[in-house]
Amino acid sequence: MPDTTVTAVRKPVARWWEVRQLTALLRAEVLLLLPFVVFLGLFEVYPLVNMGIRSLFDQDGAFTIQNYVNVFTKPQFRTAIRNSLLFASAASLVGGIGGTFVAALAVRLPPRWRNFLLSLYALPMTLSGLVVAFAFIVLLGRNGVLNLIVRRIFALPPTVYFNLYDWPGIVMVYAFFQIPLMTLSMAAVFENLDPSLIEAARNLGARPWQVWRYVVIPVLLPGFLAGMSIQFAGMMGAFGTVLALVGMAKNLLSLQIYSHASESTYNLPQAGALSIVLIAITATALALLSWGARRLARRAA
Amino acid sequence: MARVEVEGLTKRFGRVVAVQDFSLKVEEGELVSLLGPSGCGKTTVLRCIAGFERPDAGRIIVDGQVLNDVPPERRNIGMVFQTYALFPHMTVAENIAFSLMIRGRPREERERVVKEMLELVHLEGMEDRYPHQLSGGQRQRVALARALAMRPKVLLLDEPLSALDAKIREELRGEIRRIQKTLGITTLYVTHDQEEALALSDRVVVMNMGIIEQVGTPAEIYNAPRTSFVARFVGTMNLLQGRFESDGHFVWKGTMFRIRPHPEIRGSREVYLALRPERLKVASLPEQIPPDHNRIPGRVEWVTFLGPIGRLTVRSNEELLQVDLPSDEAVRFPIGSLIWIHFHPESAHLVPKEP
Repeated sequence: MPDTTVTAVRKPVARWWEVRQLTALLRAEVLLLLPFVVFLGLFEVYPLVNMGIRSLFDQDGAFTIQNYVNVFTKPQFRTAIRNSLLFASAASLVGGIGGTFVAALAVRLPPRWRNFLLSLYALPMTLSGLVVAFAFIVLLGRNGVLNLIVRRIFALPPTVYFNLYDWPGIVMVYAFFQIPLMTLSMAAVFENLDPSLIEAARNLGARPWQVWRYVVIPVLLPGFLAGMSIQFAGMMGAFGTVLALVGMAKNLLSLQIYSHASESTYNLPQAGALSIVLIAITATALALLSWGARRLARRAA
Repeated sequence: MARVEVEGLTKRFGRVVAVQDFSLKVEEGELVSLLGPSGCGKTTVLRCIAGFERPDAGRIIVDGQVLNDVPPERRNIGMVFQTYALFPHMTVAENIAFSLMIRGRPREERERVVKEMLELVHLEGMEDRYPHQLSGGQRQRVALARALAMRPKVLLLDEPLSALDAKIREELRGEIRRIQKTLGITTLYVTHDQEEALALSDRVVVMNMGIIEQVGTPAEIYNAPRTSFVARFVGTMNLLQGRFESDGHFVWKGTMFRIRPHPEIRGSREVYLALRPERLKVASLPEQIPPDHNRIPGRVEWVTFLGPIGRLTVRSNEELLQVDLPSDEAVRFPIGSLIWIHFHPESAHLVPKEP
């Protein structure tokens, strides 16, 4: 007969030393996070809040919303906003389409080759924007190597050259960063595309272009939009390379901010208002893109 | 409905021969399974018929028309994939109507077909769900409905149940058979699950290493395997390697067995004797054995409880034999007991030994 009188269900009670170990562990983990929290506070939250507050006062310290009114009324700022939006859209599209194309080709390679080429290809992203700008000036500047060679071959006058210092040139230099970035995100998206989806579509009567139109593109779209968000955010803030290339000759929001924060046009509250507007525009665009991507991804899950 | 003929199909991938000289005729409305271990070439045969692979030799013929040069989208052959391959951005209704949408059929027709198909696979009311909102079994039903929506001449199923749980698998297996019978559609079914192949098929093609080992009805495959591979692959089988003597007896390790003759085995030669575990009987004393039965003495090594039956693993002549008994009978032979296995000559089947 089993003894039924003695055995009772004992509640698992944590012993005092177990509790202490647990809290000690928790405390240690919080401590590990501390440098990050301090860093975030000092270099991100504080400057942002400070900038936001200071943008609401004029240079003599009186409260005003004039700085914001200026952003939307002064022609130079309105042009800057328009240019920044156009430039970021163009550069993102070039990077997005170029990167998608390269990724589509890369995933067809055998895995060893693919990984090697993709890491090689990612190298530009580690380079400083100044270095890249200088490299392009040497290659494609008014008297750059490539311009000289082409002029020599076709016996063209020195007035003919590829203009690195206009919008198409600037977009092209940024493509040097943007295409590899997009390639890396899209390579993962392509690898996750189930090849039997394509076979199923053909089996059901779809010709190759219809497979792309009705299956491949819609399935890839959420990943593409996510990649485009990264592209667009980066390009709204693009600054170093464009400054090195054209100085203040082009009117971009980022360059306006730089000029009001350091140059002769020094006006920190105005720079603050421009920055807040830049952040707001970028955040809105990202929210729209991620909303679209989430809607599509929910179906694709 | 259509007749499918495959003539001398050969397919290589680099230096690997995936399928070699494969020939098969599937009659109208027949369900034929291609059964074999992974890498045996069964899926390659299916993909050649669907048009996803190009044969290196041989012809694919449906209803007298050679399809080798017809692209997959013009073959009108339905296919169901192991991974379902439902379009994730489309609803159930859009998935099912895909083939009709591609062909530019009017909306009323698409809606009618979707409704019909959902009734056929018992998923009424699921039109607006997305694939990720369905269970695995439901997804495969949608995939089946999608493949059938365009009224294909032939239906190909590539391991459609492998990704599902055992219970759903069995249920859906019956559904597939029912639907196939209802529509009378010529069907090729690829599986590595011998039980599935036996349960579903009119005929089974057993494949190994790119070649056909045997073609036959499930009963033929199960009761009269032609090769030792088929005997081992389909169901559980005891294979005794011994000698067929010209006087018609089989000799295994000095013991002589009376057996049923085999049309292809004559003269004295090495053969296998195939014994199904459920065809063997067990007695504790030799006096209990009917006089016309063959007998093998042994010792119970292990007993496995399998629900309705108990499986004895018996050591005899340094080999292990499996014997299936009704559970209540199996408990009478505990581990270690000395027993006699006996069987009627008709219960054994000779299998030629490959050189």
